[in-house]
Amino acid sequence: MFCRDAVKLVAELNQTEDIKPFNEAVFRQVLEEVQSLFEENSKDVNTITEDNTAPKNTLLVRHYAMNRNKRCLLTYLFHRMRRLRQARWELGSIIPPEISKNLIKPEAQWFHNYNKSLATYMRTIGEDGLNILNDIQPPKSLYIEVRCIQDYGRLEFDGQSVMLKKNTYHLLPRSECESLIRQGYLEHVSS
Amino acid sequence: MSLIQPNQYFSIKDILVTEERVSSEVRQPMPNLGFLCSSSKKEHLDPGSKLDIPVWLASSLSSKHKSIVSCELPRFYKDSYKEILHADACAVELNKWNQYFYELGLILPPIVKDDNQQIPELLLEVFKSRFRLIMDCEQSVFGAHSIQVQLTALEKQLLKQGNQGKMLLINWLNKGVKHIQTSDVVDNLRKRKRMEV
Amino acid sequence: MEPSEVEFLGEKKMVSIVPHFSSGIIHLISGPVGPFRANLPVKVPIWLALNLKQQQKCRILAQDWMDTENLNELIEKEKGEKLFTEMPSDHFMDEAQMLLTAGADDIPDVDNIRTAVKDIWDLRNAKLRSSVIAFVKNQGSTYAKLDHLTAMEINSIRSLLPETLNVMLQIEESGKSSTSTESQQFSSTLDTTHSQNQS
Repeated sequence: MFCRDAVKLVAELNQTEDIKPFNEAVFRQVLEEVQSLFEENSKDVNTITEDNTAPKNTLLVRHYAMNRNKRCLLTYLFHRMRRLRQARWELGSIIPPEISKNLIKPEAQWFHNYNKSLATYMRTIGEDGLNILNDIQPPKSLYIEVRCIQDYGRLEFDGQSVMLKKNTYHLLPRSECESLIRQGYLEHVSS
Repeated sequence: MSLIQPNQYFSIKDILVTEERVSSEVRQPMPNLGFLCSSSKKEHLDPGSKLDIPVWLASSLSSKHKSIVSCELPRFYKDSYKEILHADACAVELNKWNQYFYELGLILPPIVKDDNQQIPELLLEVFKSRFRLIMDCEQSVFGAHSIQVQLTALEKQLLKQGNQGKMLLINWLNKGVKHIQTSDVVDNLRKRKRMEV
Repeated sequence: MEPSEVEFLGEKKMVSIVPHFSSGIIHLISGPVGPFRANLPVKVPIWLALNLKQQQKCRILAQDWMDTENLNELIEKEKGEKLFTEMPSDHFMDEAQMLLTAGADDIPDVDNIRTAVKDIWDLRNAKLRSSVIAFVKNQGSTYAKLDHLTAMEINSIRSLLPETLNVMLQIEESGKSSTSTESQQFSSTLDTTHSQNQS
C-alpha cells in the first residue's frame, strides 16, 4: 500500500513530545515515492482514450497517494517547528546542544529568525521593552531563594554580579533568575 | 482544536485515524494496481476483487458521486457488537475493538453504503456511558491502570487533560504557589541522559 | 487556568490586619490603602497582607467566617442540601490556604479551621463530581445550572468538562448532517484541504 513510509514519520512524532533527530532517510524515501508516482502517472495519462477510461481510476489513486505523502511530510515539519517554538518559550534563546544537534539547517535558521522576531516585538512594548517570557505564573515575591544545581558561571545584573557554582544558595531578584530556573541551572527553594 | 473534529490537515491523530483499514470491494477496474491486493497475483485490479484499503483512500474513492470502490462498515459497529455495547458499554474493552472507535464512527458513515446503522446515536450513547470510567480513573490516582487499558485513544486524551488539571490542583493544595518549576523539556532531556549513562 | 492563577485572583479580596507601623495613605495602582496606625486594624488586599506579614510588619486577623462554629454549621448545611449552598466567599478555599499558612501564629484555632474548610471542600467536590457525571449522562438537557460554586471548584472541572461536551456536540452534529440531503465534504478532501484551520 502506498504512503507507508510517510505514516512512519507521523507515528514517530506521536511517540514522544521531544524533538528527535531529523529522519532524513525516511523523508527522502517519501520524496522518492512521490516522484515515482508522478512519473507513472505521466506515463499512464497518455493511455487514456475514449474507449479505455479505466486508467483514470489508477491516476486518481496515485494522485491521492501523492497528496497523502505531501500531507504527512508537511505535518512532520509543522510539528517539529511547533515543538521548537515551545522550546524557545521554555528554555530561552539558546537551545541546549541535545536539541540543537537534532535539527537540520533550515530549522536552526527558522529558530534564529523566530528569536529575532520575538526580541523585536518585546522591544516595542512599553518604553524599554518588556520580557514577556517572565512571570509565566503569578509571582509571589520580588526576591527568591535559589540553590544552584549546575555550574553556570557569573550572573550580572543591576550593577551586581553573583558567581553561580553548584550547591551554593543565593537570594536573587525573581526576574533575573526565572529563566535560569526554567533551564535547570537553579532550583527554587522555599524560604 | 476540538479533540474529535475530523478533517484537520496537520493533526497527527487525524493522519493515524485515516490510516485504519476498511474492507472494500472494487467496482471499477484499476489497471496496474494489482499489487495492492496481496492475495491475488494479477496485474490489474478487476471489479469484484476484495481488499482492505486505508480510510484516506476509501473516502476519496467511494462517495455519493463516485463509486470506484464500495466499503463495508467494520463489524464492531454492527449487530452483535452493538448488542454488547447496549448491554454495558463500560465493561467493553473498546481499545481492543479499535482504539479509534469514535473517530472512525464519525468519518465512516458518509463512505459506506449501509448507513441506516445510526452510528452517531450509538457513539453518543457509548460515550456518555463510558464517561463515568474517565471520571473514575481521574479520581483514583493509583488503581486507575486497570481501567485505563480499556480506554480508546480519545478517552485517554480526555483523561490526560483531566489529570493534568487535577495534578495542578493537588500540587496547589499540598504545596501552594511557591516554586517556579524547571520546564518539562529540560526534565525529559535529563531523564534521557540518565538512561543513556 | 491554573490554581495559581485562581489564587492570584483571590488575592484581591480584602482582609483585616493589625499593622506594627504607622504610615499615611499609600497609593497603589489598584487603589489607595491606609492610613496605617500601629495596633489599629485596617483592611488591605490579601497580597499586601501576606507581603507585610513576611516582613513582620503586621499581624493577620482571621476573616469573619473563619470561625470553627460557623464552619461546622456550614458543613451541616452542606450535608443536608442536595445542591450547593452559598459560601461566605467566592474564593474560600484559596483564602483559607493563604491566610491559614501565613497567619498560622496569629489566628486562633488554626488547625480546626483548616480541617473544617477541608471537610467542606471534600463534600462539595464529591457533589460536583456526581453532578458532572449525571449531566453528561442525561444529555437530554442542553444546560445545567449550578449555583454557588466557588472559583476554585469551577476551575477543577475546567480541564475536562468543556472538552467532553465538545466531543458530544461533534458526534451529534455529524448525526444531524448525515441525515440531511447535503453530505459533509469528506469525500475527496481528506488530504487536500491545506487551507483548513490548523492550530
